[in-house]
Amino acid sequence: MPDTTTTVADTTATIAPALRLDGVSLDYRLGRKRVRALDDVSFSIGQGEIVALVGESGSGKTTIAGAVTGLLPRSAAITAGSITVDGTDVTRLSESRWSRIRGRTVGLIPQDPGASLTPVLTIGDQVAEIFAIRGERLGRAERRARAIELLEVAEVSRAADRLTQYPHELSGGLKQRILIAIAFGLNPALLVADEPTSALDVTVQKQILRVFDRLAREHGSSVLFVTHDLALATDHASRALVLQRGRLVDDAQVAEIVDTARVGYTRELIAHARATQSALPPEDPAPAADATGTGAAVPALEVRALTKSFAGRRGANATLAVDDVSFTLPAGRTLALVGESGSGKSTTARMILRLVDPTSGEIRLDGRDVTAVSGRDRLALWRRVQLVYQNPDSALDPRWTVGRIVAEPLAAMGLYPVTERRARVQELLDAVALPEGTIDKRPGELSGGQRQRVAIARSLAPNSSVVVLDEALSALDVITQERVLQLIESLQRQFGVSYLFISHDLSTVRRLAHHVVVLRAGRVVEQGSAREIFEAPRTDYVRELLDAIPGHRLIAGAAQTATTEGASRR
Amino acid sequence: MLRYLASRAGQALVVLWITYTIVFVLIQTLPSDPVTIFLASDAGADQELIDRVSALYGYDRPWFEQYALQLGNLLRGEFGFSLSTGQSVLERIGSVVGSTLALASTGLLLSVLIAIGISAIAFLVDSPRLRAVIVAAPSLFSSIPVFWLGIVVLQVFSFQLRILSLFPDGSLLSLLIPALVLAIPVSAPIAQVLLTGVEQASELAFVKTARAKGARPMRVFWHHVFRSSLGATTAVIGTTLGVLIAGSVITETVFARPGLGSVLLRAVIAQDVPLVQGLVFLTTLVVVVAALVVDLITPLLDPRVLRSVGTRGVSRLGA
Repeated sequence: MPDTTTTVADTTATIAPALRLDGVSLDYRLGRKRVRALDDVSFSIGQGEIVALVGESGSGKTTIAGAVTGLLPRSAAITAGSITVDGTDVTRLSESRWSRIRGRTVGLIPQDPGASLTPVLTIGDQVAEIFAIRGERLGRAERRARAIELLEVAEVSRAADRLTQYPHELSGGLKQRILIAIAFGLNPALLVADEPTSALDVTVQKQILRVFDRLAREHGSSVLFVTHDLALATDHASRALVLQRGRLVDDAQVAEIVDTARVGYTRELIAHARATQSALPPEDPAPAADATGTGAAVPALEVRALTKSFAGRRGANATLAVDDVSFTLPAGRTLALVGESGSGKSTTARMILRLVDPTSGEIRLDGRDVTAVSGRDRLALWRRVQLVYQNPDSALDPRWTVGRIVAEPLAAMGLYPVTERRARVQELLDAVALPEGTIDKRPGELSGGQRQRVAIARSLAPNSSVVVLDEALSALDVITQERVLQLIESLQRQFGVSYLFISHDLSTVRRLAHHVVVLRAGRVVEQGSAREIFEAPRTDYVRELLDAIPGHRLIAGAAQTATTEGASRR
Repeated sequence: MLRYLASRAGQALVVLWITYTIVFVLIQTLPSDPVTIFLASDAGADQELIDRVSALYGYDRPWFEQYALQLGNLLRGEFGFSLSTGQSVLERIGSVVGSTLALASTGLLLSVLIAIGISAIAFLVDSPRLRAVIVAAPSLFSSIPVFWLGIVVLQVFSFQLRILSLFPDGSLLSLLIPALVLAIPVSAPIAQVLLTGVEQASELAFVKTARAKGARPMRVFWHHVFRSSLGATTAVIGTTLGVLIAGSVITETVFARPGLGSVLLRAVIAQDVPLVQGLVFLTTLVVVVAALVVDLITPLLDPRVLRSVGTRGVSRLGA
């Protein structure tokens, strides 16, 4: 056990920082190649300090989180420098030595709550495991009481019932609370939170981070908060470390960078984040000014009283996943379907794509009723409506070349003569601004943003008029996200595509959508032009959603730069 | 859960019925009826005797009557009568089945222990070279023929070390050594699946959580990795039961142990078709029942399986 003699009177020695990296360089071995992931990174975190580590994907922030917790893959090797956690040098430790450091000295709140609890063990077993790890021999009753206590501190509802449940029975937000309870239960000197809420809805994210902030304060924990979301970083940390391509480019107080970032790259990040935060929704010109001009009145997509009920198990009442939803997507425009998980937005999209049969209601595409099309007609429908899925990694076959992937809808629908398909594919890849030669690469050789561009190119291949973007930007970091957003907008101007944009992320919705439909529990809570929704929400629910968007300090900072006043409002 | 049970039991019955039918068809395609074949080498057997015995066994009836008659007998638990001894099949094997069961179950237990040992070492060992050697072991094991290994082991333990009697003497060692010989090839597929399961599970996020808690490698393996890779492994154990019985027959012959192996061997040499038929059906029954037990255990090991049990049966690890 490390000595934690941090009483106020103790001034005999300067207290070791919670974390210190000294000139750390790190390589990954890929076959014979060595890829540098971290290059001479130095920083330290004081006791009780909350520090954000910000960067794009591939900047090395997850590598730092791994190096600090000893959870790097075997192919990683620290080639220079040293890492000290709470006074202990952990640069080169064996797995069994690490197991004594982890948990009590350095804890982790993992990235993906959905997969981070052992599926075959009950919550009770997994929480109580920390007592066994600490070597405490507790009786059955006491173990149970202590586990419940830990869960309650992390505001897990119905804590006693949770003990006998399995992870797959719980929501993502609950799982993350449980993981937080476990991490704080071990009371580590340093806590690494690795993108703890990137998989969660904004409102859930807000609740989770409130619990997290409170526990960090109560425990006096030092925190390394790893995130790609600068808005989130500025809301929850006091200091920010900015990482770019494996190098630490900035290390400054949040208050400072919000006002006047000295480093160019940080300024760029701030500007991007702020642009998304305060962007006004795009103007919606009158339909008459529509460039496509094919009889302006026919909307690209029209949905009337769409309803989907799923039969309950064993005679239980049927649940209405989508309940009487109506909206209209004008040609060449973007309509956002917004809602938390379980709000019915994905089911609605699946019905429009005719992957799921509606229980009742009507779907019209370019004025044609497609509610009940099947067989050849459904194939024809898919020429008009295409899908871009959230995760490009699983949506692209890793064994296929990009050329074959993009040509697939053409081949499936028998569009374009075979000899002209390659030219068509190249044209599409140019349209989404992918570099020369991408056509013969495989998805594994591309970055996340490039892969999503491939998926977008594929969706445009059959000259579709409506593209369903199902959380298509959620897996990307801010800067990549911004580039893909710009691409999506320019493709709309170029080809007059209409987008059905499904998202839980309101800041990207604000950036892209002309119209917004807010769903909750299958029903439309509010709909209107994006300006109406964002500037004058009529319902409490929408106000709550808007309030949950992170980045208050960024916006506040932007306001303060004008007045040069230092007091923060929150 | 009831539906799951019913669907599994139904499948088992179908397998048994198909086995019965295949064996029946094979016997029908023999050049003449089993009694003629059995008595062919007996000079004293005249046509009248053959006809009498055939009538007794029902082989003189049209094939569909035989099919129904024999199936009905099976359903009543009658597995037929040996031509060579006149005993019922059940009686014939009743005296030796205990010995085979002891060998097979010890062999299965050892093979599971070997598989767990291999995957645990592969998970815990730090050196990549050592791990490569351990991971290669199952492939080696699966390519060792049981009879060859048996003879080598006998040569070493009985003739050179002289610690094992050439014939079973009821000692623990005389059970353990043949069981080990049997377990080595049987362990190979189990170890391969368990290794893959462990390897895949160790990449998953929850293992990171367990390690981040400060759990020792041993604890991470037992509580998190091993438990999560059990689903597919139990299924493989179900499918190795056939290999196990086949292996038992060979092992028994090599080690001169009484058991199903010797009965089957003698039945085949004597061309005692009804006895072989009864033995085949009985072993199928044992394998099917054991596989059913495995299928029923699986949901207890992995809470996600039951959830994915729908009308279309079970998709393992549907989550």
